Parts: sequence; C-alpha cells; structure tokens
Amino acid sequence: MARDTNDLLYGTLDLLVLKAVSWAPMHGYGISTWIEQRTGHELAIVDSALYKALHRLEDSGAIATEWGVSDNNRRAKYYSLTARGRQMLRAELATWKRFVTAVGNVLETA
Amino acid sequence: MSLFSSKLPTGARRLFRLPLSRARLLRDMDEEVQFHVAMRIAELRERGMSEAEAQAEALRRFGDTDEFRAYAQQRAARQAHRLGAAEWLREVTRDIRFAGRQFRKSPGFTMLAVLTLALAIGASTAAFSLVNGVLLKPLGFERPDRLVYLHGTGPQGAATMISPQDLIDFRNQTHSFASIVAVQSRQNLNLLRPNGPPLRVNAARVGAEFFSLLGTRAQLGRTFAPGEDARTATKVVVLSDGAWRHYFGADPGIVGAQVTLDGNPYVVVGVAPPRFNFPDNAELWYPAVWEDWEVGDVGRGNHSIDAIARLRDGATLESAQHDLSSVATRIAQAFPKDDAGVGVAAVPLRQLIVGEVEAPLWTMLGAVMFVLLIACANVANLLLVRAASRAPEMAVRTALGAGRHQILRQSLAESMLIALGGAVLGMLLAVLVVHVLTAGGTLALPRTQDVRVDARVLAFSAALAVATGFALGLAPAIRVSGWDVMRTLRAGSIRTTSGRERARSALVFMELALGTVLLVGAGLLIRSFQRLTDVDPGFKADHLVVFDVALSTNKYEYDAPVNRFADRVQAGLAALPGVQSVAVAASRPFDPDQFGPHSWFTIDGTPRPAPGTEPKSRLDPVSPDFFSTMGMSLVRGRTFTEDENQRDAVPVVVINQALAARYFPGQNPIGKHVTFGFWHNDTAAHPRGEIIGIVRDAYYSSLRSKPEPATYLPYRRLPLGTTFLLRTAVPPAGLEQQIRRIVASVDPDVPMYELGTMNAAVAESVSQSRLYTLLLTAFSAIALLLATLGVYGVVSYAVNQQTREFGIRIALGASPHDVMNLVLRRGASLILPGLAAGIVGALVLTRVIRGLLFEIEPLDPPTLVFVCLVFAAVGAVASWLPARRAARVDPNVAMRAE
Repeated sequence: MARDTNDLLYGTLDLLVLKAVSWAPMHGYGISTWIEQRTGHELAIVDSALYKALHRLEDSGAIATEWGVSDNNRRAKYYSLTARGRQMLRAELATWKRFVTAVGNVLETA
Repeated sequence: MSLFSSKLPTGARRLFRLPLSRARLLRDMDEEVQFHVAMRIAELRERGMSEAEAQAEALRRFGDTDEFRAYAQQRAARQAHRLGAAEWLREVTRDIRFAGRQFRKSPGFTMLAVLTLALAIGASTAAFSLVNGVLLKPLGFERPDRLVYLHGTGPQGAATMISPQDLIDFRNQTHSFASIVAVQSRQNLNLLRPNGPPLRVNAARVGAEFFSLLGTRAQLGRTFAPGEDARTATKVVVLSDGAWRHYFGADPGIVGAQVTLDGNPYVVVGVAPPRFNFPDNAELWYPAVWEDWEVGDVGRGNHSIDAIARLRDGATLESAQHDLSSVATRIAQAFPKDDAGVGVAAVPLRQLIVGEVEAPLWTMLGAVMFVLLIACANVANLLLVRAASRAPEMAVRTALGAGRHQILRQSLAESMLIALGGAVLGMLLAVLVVHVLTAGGTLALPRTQDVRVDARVLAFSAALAVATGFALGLAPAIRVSGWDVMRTLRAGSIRTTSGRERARSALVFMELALGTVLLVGAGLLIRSFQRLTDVDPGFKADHLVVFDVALSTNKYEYDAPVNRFADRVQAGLAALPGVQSVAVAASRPFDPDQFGPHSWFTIDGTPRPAPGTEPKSRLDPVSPDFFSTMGMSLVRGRTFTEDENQRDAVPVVVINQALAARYFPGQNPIGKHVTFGFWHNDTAAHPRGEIIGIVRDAYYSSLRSKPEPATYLPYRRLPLGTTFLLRTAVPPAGLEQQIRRIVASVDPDVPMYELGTMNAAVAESVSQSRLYTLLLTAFSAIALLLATLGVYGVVSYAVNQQTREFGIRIALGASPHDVMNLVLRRGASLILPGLAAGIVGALVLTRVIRGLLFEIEPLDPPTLVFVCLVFAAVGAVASWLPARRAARVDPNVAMRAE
C-alpha cells in the first residue's frame, strides 16, 4: 500500500533519509528505493517530498553532496552523512524510540 | 577553454572560490531530477510496463511537478544569494588582510596618506560641527520655522524698536499671528542674592506668554503663568540654567527663593532648560509690567521693545508682513508726532539669531571641502605612484585570472582602509579643535553652546571617509583597465605609462587651482583684517581702562543719586597712583552690551522738518574730562567745563564731525542751538543747548561702520548709564583689585563688570572677522603645503623616470645647468596652468566672501601678485630639489642602471 507522505509523522521522513545515507553515500533514487525495500513497500515516498527533505538536510549541514557516477555510468548527485548528521541521527533515533514506546504503552494498556 | 565556463572539474569552483550562480544551482537540481525519473522509468519498464505507462507512473510518483519547479527556483535563488554573500565576505576579509600586509610593507607611504587625510577630514569635521551646531540644529523652540521676530523700521528702513502701546495695537488688530509677545533685553541689571556678592546679569523683560509662545518648559519649577504681567501680580523671575548653576550652585530648592532684581524683590518660580538663553544670552526673565509712562498715548514714542510672534496656521511671512504694515500705517496716520514713518518688519527668528553668520560659515565649510579635495588629490597621487611600482604584481594577478572587478575591489579595500584611518584620526583631531574653539565661550559665534561633535557630525565625517575611500580606490583602478598585461610583464621593469602621468599632472593641476582659490581668499581676508585693525578709532585706545557698573534703578533713582555715586567713584579712581585722568559716561565705544540712545533733533531757527525726516543723532552724556581721557581731539571750539556739567547750568553740547558735515554742510555750527526730541519721563532733562565745539569722529559700535552723527552733552544733565574710563600710566592688570575696592567702598551692592582695556574691547569687536580670517588662513596653509608636496612628488618622480635620458644628454654634452633648466621648466609647466585656472576661479569665487571684506575689492592686485609669488616660490622649491638631483646624474651610472 502506497501512502502519501502527508500521512507520515512530522520528522519521520528526515529520520528515514538520514538512516538511508548512514550506510554509504547514495543518490536520491537510491534512497527512494532503499526506503521502499526496507519498509516492505509499505511506504512509497512521493519523490518531490524526498528531494525537499534532502535539500532541507543539506542546508542544515546534516548531509553533504557530491557529484559522482552511478552504476549505469550516469552523472548523479550523491548524498552522504556528515559528522553533524550522524549526531542528528542518533538524537532523532532516541527520540523516535521514546515516542514509539510511549505511544505503544498507551495503545496496549488502553 | 574559457576560464569561466561551467565545465570546471569537480571542486575547482570551490578551490578558486568562484561563486555558484543561480542558473547553475537550478541546472544541478534539474539534472538530478531527470536522473531520478529516468531511473524510475527504467525500473518500471523492467517490471513489464510499456514506455508510456512507465512514464505516466514515474511522473505520478514524483508528485506535483509545477509546485516542485517553483520550489526549486526559490531555493536556487536563496542559495545563490547566501553563497554569494558568504563568498563576498570571505573575499573582502582577504582583501583587507592583504591591504594591511601591503601597508606594513610601506609604512612611510601609509603614514603620509593617513595623516594627509586625517588633517583634511579633521578640518572638515570641525568646520561641519560649527555649521551643524550654529545653523543646522533646530533652534530648540517648538516649530521654530513659524516663529518671527518683529522690530521697528525707521524712515529710511533702518532697524528701530517698537513702543509697548504700538505692540498692543498690533496684538489687537492683526490677524496673522497666534500670539505676539514683547521682548526687551535688559542688559546689566543689578541682582542681589541672599548669599554672595552683587551680580550684574543680562535679563530679559518679556510678556507673560513668552515661554508658552516658544514652547519652552521649565526644567525646574514653572515658567510664567498667564496674567503674571499684570500690575497686581507677584513679581517673579525664571532663571537660565547657567545662572542657576553659577549663581545659585544648582540649588534644587531654588524655586520660591527671593532675589532682588534692580532693587525690587522677586520670587524665583523656575529654571529654564539648559542652553536656552534667548534673547541676547539672557540669564533671567521677568514679566514686563508696563509703567504708566510706557503705555497709553503718552508712551507712543517710547520705542524701546522688540517682539516675537508665532504665525497662525496658514499665514505666511509675506501675508503677516502685509498685515503688520497696514496696521502700522494706520498707527502712523493717527499718531504722526511719534510714529510718522515708523513701520514694523517681521523676520524669521532663525535669521535674527544666525542670519549674520550663515553665509560665512557655509563659505568656511566650502573652503574646507577644497582642502579635502586637495588632500584626496595628494593621496591619489601617492596611490598612482604606488600603483606604478606594483604594476608587475597587478599584471601577474591579472594573468592568473583576477578579473577587473577583483583588482578594483582590492584597490578599494586599500583606499577604504586609508580613509578609515584618516577618518578616525581626523575625528579625534576635530574633537580637539572643537574643544579648543568652544572652551571658555570665547568663540565669536551665536549658539556656541550647541557646537559639539555629535552623532550627526560623526555621520558626516564617516560619509566623507567612505566617499574619499571610494574616490581614491577608483583612481588607480581605472588605469588598470587600459593595461597591456603582456607588455608590462615583458618589460620587466617598472615604467609609468604616459596616461598615468597625465592623470597625476591633472591631479596636481587641480590641487594648485583649488589651493590658489583658497590662498586668494585668505589673502583678501588677511588684508581686510589688517585694514580693519588699522582703522583709527578716533581716540587713543592705549592705556585706557574701562569698566561698567550695574546700578539698581530702585536705589539709584535717576539723576541725583547716580551723580553722587559717579562723583565718589571718580574721586576714588583719580587718587589711584598712575591714573592720569578719569571720566564717566552713559555709554562708551565698543561696549558690547550698550548703545547710546538715538534721537531726532531740530536746529533752532530752522523750520521743523516733516515728522520722520528730522536730523538724527546719537546722544552721549559724558563728563567734561571724557574727551581728554579718551584722547579725542578737538576740531573746533571748546569742550564743556565742570561748571557747565550741572543740571541748572546754561545747556551746551559738543558735536562730532559727522554731525557737522551732515547737518551743517559749509556752515559753522558753533553757536547754533539744537533741541532734541529725546523721549524721557524727566521732561526737564530733554537734551538741548548751544553747540560749543566739534570733536573728531570716534568709532562706537564697530570699526566697519563709519561713525554716525553724535552729540555729547554734560553727564550730570542726563546720567543714563555709568561707564568709567581711566587713562593710566601703569599696566591695567594691577588696577583691578583697587578699582573693585573703591566701588565696594562707595556701595557694596553694586557689581562691576566688563573691566578691561579699550584695546581689548576694540579687538573683541573684530573677533568674528578674526575667526574667519584665521580659519581661511589655516585652510590655505594646509592647501599650500599639500600642493607643494604634490608638485614635488610629480617632478621628482619624473626625474627618476628620466635618469637615463639625463645621462644620455649629459654624455652628449649637455651641461648640468641645461639639465636643471629642463627640470625647472617642467615644474613651471606644471604650476602655471594650475595657477592661471586658480586665479580665474578665485575671481569668480571670491565674490562669495565680498561681505566679509573691508575696503578691499575681490579683485585686489596686491593679493593676486602675492599669491602668484607664493606659488612661484613653491614651484621653485618643489622642482629645484629634483632638478639638482637631475643635474648630478652620472651618465655612466645612469646608462648602466637598467
């Protein structure tokens, strides 16, 4: 089921993108497919929203960009996590886990 | 491959710090999206979709493309801007660091440039703080542009005063004013405090609405309440801030205190705000309560007050003047005896206060701008020389890809730093100069209390610095554009281009022309000042000591008590060792606070002319020894004796030459009788009498204005004031204590003031002329110095460049003398055009200072000859030194040099 990013919780997309590029530098399309595969096609991100998130993170210094060559020999822009991005990812993950636990507790005990 | 093409290797752009353009950022985003969509289509095709289906699905997955396009454009713009700003800041910082390094490498050049600008910016800032304080700052009254000053006008348009009764008519019958208030300066009033010696103060007797009309509030207590000028009201005064501080120790409990003003008890009700001292440096104000003899039809001729008024909304100065004039005409028709030919004029209050100094101050600011231009030309010259020596550096930077605007920016950074340094030093200099000028309140300008280096002055100074830095930065850079980079690199040595040399000569030409104008102006002012101080005042000012006393009219009611006081003081003074003669007079020459009364008179035996056209004279009650004490020589007849100096003696008068020449042309006035219309409540004292002598004209108010007709009459008949004069053989400095003791022994409640020599009083009267002369002389001296440096710099540089040529000439048989001549001719060719242009400019521009000149025409041959000689000398000195160097060139060394 493809879901619109509008339904995503605020900040979730940024977290997913940070997580995606934390393994290795990736281009935008790669990040899109990575998220799709990892979520078992539960989440299909609208591409324009993904790029806006990438730009947002780039502007805030969490990710860096560099032009590189893709597997099929095309010029592509690669995104990689900066030191600052790694910090941000760690903090966001912790917050996310607390959030999930808290919401989970509510839902299970209710 | 073009250096600026977009196909740079990755990272090259960052490496060379080339800014990213907006178009480029947009292209990047576009490329990324295209890649993304292509990959998506490929993936969908793999899953078995048709080309069309895959395309549609990919686009659907991308989302709103229109919205994204708009977003991308916005982002690119934002980012380009941000990157650009950051890049710019980085580069400017680097430029400034680089400029700093350059200056450290050549400290001599840097110091000279900074000091030159500091001198000029400092002088400009100081001059502007005068203009700002005196002319630009608002007057400190509410809506000052609506305030006017009313004064009477005589038959020939001469300024006179208004009578209180006429003023009442103006208040009731005009429609153009929201309010009209009487103002009467009462200089030299006697003020007694509970503690401390008696004081003499400058007071102002004003209508009760005086403060409310001006919109001035008390800083302590209150100002006058409506109706406080009624006869039944308690007598109150408002103190000035200065009087409160100096005379009452800034006592916060001053409100309610009692003082004795002119012998009458008054209650202090408030203190005016700081710097409020209108009119005529008033120290306190008290409501004008008109006496019986001052108002009503009996007081019509009592022309003794001025007035201030606030224009009603919608009224203009012209309409108000028209309104006033029609009322004045009606009054003159109704009361021809007193008011025939008497009108009233309204002038803006601002004009009254600063009108006289407005043009001179702007002229001084203009002159100092010339100095600034000359300083800029000088520094530009220095920069051009330096630019020449840095030509290889610039060529290398250009070859390495520095664009014209990078080099321009570098050059601007350097000149801005110089200008900034100059401005900081200049501001310090200005603060110092302004402090010296205003210290002690000796500056001969109105509103001195407002002259300060304030925010506006600093802003002016900063603006000058920025403009200067900008102009200087452009100067060398403009030449850069015309460069042939390759030629400079190949040449290997520094060679000035003829264009650069032309630019330098043009700058020196400008310096000389402006300097000439300034020097001509200064020369004219100096000559005027000389002529002014050379004027024979008509009396012997040396060894003449004068002082005034302030008698309270209450205790010293007119006539007998005053005469008794004067007699006792004179007797005491005459007994002092070294005092040769003593006199008393109602007023004296060069008293800044007093004018003798003026009156029309008739000559007995001739019919009385129509009202308003009678002969007029100043009236000077003086004691018999006045003429010998002053050193005024008798032209004809005799002066009066001690016996004639009595109220009941046969009345006699002595006239001056001006009166004899104007009203008795070709006749002998001795033996004629004159009767004055002088208005006084003591009718028995109406001045009249037989003319018994003619004395030389004496200048009274200013050396600039020719002596007016004057009539001297025996002091005791009309003792309207008390000024004492002493001719001494000893230096006056030692006399002060003794004089003070004598006055105190006669009456301890009488303050004395203005004790000084007549020489000082005369000098004081020309202090404004002296100020302008000093300023312009200082400016032109700076200009001359800078112009000399400019000429020297250019000639000297040219000699350096031509060393080889001189070597060849000498080798070919030219004598050192020939070579020297060559250089001197070059110097002359530099100076003469500038001098000629300057003289022409001076002929036009010195008209501006015509009003400051005294018996000198702007086209004054001696001044022009003097200026030409000065510049010839300057040129000779400035080119002689390099010429001597040129003559000593050793041909062998010169030829080998390259």
